Amino acid sequence: METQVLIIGGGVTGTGLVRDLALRGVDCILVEKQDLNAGASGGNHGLLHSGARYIASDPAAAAECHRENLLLKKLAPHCIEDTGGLFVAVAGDDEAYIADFPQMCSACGIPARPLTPTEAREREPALSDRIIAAYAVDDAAIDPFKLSLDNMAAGLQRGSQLLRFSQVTGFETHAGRIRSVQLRNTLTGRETHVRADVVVNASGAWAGQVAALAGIDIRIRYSKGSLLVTHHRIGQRVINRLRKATDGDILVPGGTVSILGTTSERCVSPDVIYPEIHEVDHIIDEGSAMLPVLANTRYIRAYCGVRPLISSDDEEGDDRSVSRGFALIDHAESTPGLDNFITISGGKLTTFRLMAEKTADQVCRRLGLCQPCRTHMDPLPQTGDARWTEPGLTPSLWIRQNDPRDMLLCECEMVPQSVVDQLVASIRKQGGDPSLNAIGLRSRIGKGPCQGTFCSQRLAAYLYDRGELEQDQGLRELRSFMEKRWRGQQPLLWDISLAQAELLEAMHSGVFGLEQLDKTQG
Amino acid sequence: MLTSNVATIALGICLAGTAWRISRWFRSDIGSESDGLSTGRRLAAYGRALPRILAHPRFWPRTRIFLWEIVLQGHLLQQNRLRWAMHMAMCYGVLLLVLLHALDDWTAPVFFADYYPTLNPFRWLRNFFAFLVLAGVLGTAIRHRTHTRFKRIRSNADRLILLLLAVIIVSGILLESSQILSVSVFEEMVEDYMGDDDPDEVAALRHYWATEMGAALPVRADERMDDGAAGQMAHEAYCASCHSRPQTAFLSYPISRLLKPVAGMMDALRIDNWLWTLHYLASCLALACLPFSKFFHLLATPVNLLARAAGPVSDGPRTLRAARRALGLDACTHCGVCTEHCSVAPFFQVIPNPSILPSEKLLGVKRLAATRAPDVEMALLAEGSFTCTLCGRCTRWCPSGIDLQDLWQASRRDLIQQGFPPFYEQDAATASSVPRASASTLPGHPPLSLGLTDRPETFWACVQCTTCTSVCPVVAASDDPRRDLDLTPQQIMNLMRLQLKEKAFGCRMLWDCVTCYQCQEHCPQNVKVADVLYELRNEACRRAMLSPQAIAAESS
Amino acid sequence: MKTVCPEIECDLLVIGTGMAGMAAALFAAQRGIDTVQVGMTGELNFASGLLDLLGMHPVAKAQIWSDPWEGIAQLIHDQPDHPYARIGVDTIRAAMETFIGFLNTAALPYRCHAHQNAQVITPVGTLKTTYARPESMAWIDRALANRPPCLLVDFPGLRGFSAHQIKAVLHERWPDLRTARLPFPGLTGELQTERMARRLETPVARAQLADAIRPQLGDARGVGLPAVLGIARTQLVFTELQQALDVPVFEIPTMLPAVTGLRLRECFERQLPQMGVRARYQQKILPTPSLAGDCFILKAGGELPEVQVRARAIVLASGRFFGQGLHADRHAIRETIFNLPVHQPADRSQWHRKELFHDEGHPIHQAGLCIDTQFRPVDAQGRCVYPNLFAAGSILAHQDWIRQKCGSGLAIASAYAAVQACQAVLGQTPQAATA
Repeated sequence: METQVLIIGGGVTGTGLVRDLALRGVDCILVEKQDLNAGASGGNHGLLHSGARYIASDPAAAAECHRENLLLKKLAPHCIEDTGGLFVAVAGDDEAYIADFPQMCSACGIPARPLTPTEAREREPALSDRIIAAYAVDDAAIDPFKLSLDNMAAGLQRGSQLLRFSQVTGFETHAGRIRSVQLRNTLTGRETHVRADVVVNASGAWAGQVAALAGIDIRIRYSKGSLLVTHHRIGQRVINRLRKATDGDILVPGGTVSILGTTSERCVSPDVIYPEIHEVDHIIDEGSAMLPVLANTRYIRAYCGVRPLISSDDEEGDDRSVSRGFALIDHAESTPGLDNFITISGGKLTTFRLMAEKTADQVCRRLGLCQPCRTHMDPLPQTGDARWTEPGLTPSLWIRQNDPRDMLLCECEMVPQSVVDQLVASIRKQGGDPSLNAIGLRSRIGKGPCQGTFCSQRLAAYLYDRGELEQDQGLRELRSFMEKRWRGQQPLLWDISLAQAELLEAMHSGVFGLEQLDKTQG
Repeated sequence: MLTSNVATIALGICLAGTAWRISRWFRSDIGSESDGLSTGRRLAAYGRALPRILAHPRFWPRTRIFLWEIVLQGHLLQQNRLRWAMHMAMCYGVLLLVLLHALDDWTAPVFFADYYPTLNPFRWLRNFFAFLVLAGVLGTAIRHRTHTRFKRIRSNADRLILLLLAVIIVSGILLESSQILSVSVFEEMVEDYMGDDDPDEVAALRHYWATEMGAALPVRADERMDDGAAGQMAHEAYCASCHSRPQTAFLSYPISRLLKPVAGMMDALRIDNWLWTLHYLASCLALACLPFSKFFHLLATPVNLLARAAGPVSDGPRTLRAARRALGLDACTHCGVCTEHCSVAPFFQVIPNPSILPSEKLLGVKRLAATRAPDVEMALLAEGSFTCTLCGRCTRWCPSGIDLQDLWQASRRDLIQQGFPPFYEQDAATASSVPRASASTLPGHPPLSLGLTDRPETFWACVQCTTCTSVCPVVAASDDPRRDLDLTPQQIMNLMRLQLKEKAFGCRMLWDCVTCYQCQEHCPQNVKVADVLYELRNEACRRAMLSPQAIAAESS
Repeated sequence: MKTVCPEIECDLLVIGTGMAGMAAALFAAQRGIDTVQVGMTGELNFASGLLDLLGMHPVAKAQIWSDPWEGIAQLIHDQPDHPYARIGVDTIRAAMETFIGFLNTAALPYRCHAHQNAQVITPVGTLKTTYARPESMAWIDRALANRPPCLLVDFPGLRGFSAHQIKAVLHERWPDLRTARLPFPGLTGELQTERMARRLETPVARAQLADAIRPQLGDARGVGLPAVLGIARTQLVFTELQQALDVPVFEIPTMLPAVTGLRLRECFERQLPQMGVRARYQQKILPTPSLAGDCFILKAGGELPEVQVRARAIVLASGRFFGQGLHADRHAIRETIFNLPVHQPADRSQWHRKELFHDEGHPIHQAGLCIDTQFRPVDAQGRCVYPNLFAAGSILAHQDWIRQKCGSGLAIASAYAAVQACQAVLGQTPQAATA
């Protein structure tokens, strides 16, 4: 295979870059070792920052955030719920920081409107009565899955290609250039080569590992952040704690749920990460100071992502103090120098477009092109591919269509057969296999309170009936699907969730015996 | 003649009865919408309406209804082929017997030049029609014993008329058998048509009739030597023009063979005359009873089906409504299809009040229309009436095309007037008749809801096990819950959890819920399923009463 | 507000209506003990309806036992704390025989081999090891050995049950399977197994089903159906369908909650009151029990107390977390009615493993009530908490019924042992003066 630009990593940056380059008429292939948004792009708050969170630690990044915030609200409104946000301080919080807050905001050009504690509580009744200060800001909720899927779809439409489950295993270099990239399909094990004029490493937390394959050393610190999904939506706005950024101080609404986070824990590898129980307890304890309801509410899921922090030295201290700005490294200047290899890492969801723009500018320079960027002007087209991840959409459509033959496969999130049919068709169109995980990623199936107890097997049976699964393939997928859900459930198992998990195990292990799969029987 | 007098009297009663029943359509007042209108004015309203109806452009398409619904009974065919076959057999068997047999003196000469009842194909056809009726009656009786989901209480009048029908048919068959056998009849005929001028010829005829025509005439040994030629000649000369061979009477001939050993005794008693009298009187009795039994539906149902083609009763002019309702009451055949599909029928298992079942409730409404005295029966009717969720399934299924939905709403109004208030009110019609009020005119209106639906913890515990749906009697009463109810209880709970309350208001499950609390009692996680459904209903009613501005003001 | 409610007295109060609670009430009634049973019904709805005795031990090795008794002997040797070790093989055997014998007389026949585990097909197509299974599933063992051509039937609208899936998964073990998807007589749209089973209790629906299957039979020498063949009249439905088709018929369990569990529930709810158990289903024990002399005084009801029970002894069979016998908050697990000491891991981080299907199983399942030789819950020092409070079923510690596939056996045998111990205690104490 051959292409002008090979992009490694299917997160928001990679897919954003595909679209940016495609709009400039550049031909690209995006390779992703798992599925889209498998890394930090899928493991974050879904928060479109106003910038106010970074005013103290990184005023430049804060201002960047603010500009991109306004731009994205205009260009990609279908991915955004413009909730608005609050910064609130609780009795006992750092008074000096509270006092400086409005001034720091205005220094960065970020609007922050003061509210009395009573006004804040009128807007968000769940807030603690121990609120001492509050400001309204322009935060919003953004759906990173939609963002990636829509960016990718825009690229595909202009002739770009997507290779899922394709892991980079090596680079063939010659005379200071990468000649070709070796890929291995993680499902089939098949190896391929792609020749590319320019290679962009947008693999986020894996940027160091990928660069190492080309013999280049990038020092990356891995900072894990864990988040919790509540059973129902708490509050209409993004609610931030008005203090220096730390753990458990942001609650972001996302459709029918809210997401509480986050933590910052150094970890050694981006590959095997779990939301840990002590993190969960810590987030809940911190969050409930701001919103007491968080102490007793039901949580349905925990997840985590790894922030890649590119550092120049081995300084210790809070990873949050490291700039959240992004790093664009042209490896022509690295040792050994590679003329056509660029790494983009760091940054935030809010600034993904800007990161893609800057990277594309650099790619074009390397290709000798001078096409200007258009992503800051052209609205992001909305495609059907991404719509089914939106909570509450499928039930509304299902009720409106009112087709008695169209049965629900997932009762919690009310996902009917017809949606699965569409997803299967769209996955097939992209050359993929409609596995349970692929369908789960693109829909709400398994994301409700039952966490796959019933819908997983209903979906498997339906896929068997459609002829999409053969032999015991479905059992393996069922098992893998349940394991994926379990990662997010496992730190949250107390009270009702524990009862639910017991039922889940009684069915999937007690009756189905899925734990015995691939083991010698008798 | 006594007999013809009886027939005339019976016919008179029948006609008078029919007229009386029809007059009731214009006298009874169901739904209290004919206040101040005399029977005459109502009749006049109909008189004025009729030409308009006939001239209506939709009238001719209605002939299709006539063909499909009335002649072919298409509604029944779509529901159950076996029942349709049985009903068609009974209906057309009786009709043709009446036309070609009972009224043969008048009808036969019109159609057939050489009609004679003992000739073929008339003899065979008569047997065939009788067979149809018998098969229908028998099949229906068996079906009633085995196939009903709810054992229906059948009225004695219905039983009497079925019995009468069976008596008429059976006596007719026996009559024919006895006539085939009868020596006396043979002798009388010989006397009338041959005289006794030639004993040999008579003897030959006797022999021929004994051997070929099934009569129970003694055959002497010496006559056996004769060949049948002489007898056959005599038969052809005197009898054949009126008598086909009786073997084609496939019901009565085999019976006559069975009865042959006692033929002498039967003949001595002139059983045939007695049977004739019985057959005749039973037929007259049936004729007289016709307008007073459920068989009045022979007239009322076709008329009702035609009237129904004009649309629901409540869509028509007020002046006509009461008459159409009364017509609907008469069109009911008490077939029980409504009860089979009733969404509150499961209630009957808990509260054994037959008035809960629509087929029985209709009988109560008939009583209500006739008498207006409040009594225990009326209280029972009220209980049944207000248990109804007005889901409309009975109306959709009724093979007689009765607008039951309208009837229930009308009778509820009457019941309220009689002093039987509803134990809970969910009647959308009544709700909309309450003057619209804004939130400000409902000061301190206590919130009807417990706030369950707005509290997320109400739904936290749900583990999606579908128990609430499995145990729901309303779901169980439907062949296809999604078609009949839109959503199952579990799905409503999930909509609440997903904060999509608005989507649930329109679904029929909400309104068909009988609040039996099975779901709530069986929920392993103690989710208050029934309370939530109840609360949603109250909230929907409250919204119907409030103006849109008030709701907007309230929700902001 | 203090509510006054009527009081009932009894020798034994059984708390719980799951497998262990029902078994305890049954054994108590058979022994003539004056018994009251309290609990929300529906717990048994979630039973698979298969009576597992011991399928797997040790869990880490996923070793399946074809002879459960051999497995139990090994288990008792390896895990002396396991409730089975407390009960002893002879008592387990007696309990199972009594229990299965009861079901057979109650028109809910179960079949088992004395010394051999059986296999049934699960709705995902795997094979599950169990001990006794409904008669309607008994043919599967023979079929798996001979592998005759068979027809698997499923119904549109019965979600999560695909004959095609079962055929595909079983392909190597049983190649000669065919599938047919037939409309279910009289029901369309989404199907619930309970509604289907009730529908098949009518002769018309049975005849229609047989008529629909017959043309599909071909060379099939057996017909597999989802487990919806009736509830109270399952034996009749099963034999009649078998006669109508003239080939063996077998049931395949469906997803939970399944009709197979419902049959057990309805059977017990029908039989136990007839045997003299004063059952108060749809009620639960409300907090907080008190003691009056040797007797427990407990309130039972829905939201509000409806009755006060004075019991001389109690068998606690309230189940685990799903049954609400145990409850966990973020920090600890506690027993919900008597606040009995619960044996549990040191903190929440040790409750579950990071993989759902981890080889060793999750430590939280080993948590529960520790008991003495008389099946009475004990505290950390091993002292019995109440002399007349016994525990049975899944609430007991040191077992993992899900992984070891021993749920029913554990429930039945521990109920048997607890009732036995309870009878001894009741026999010793003097009868109440009012008696």
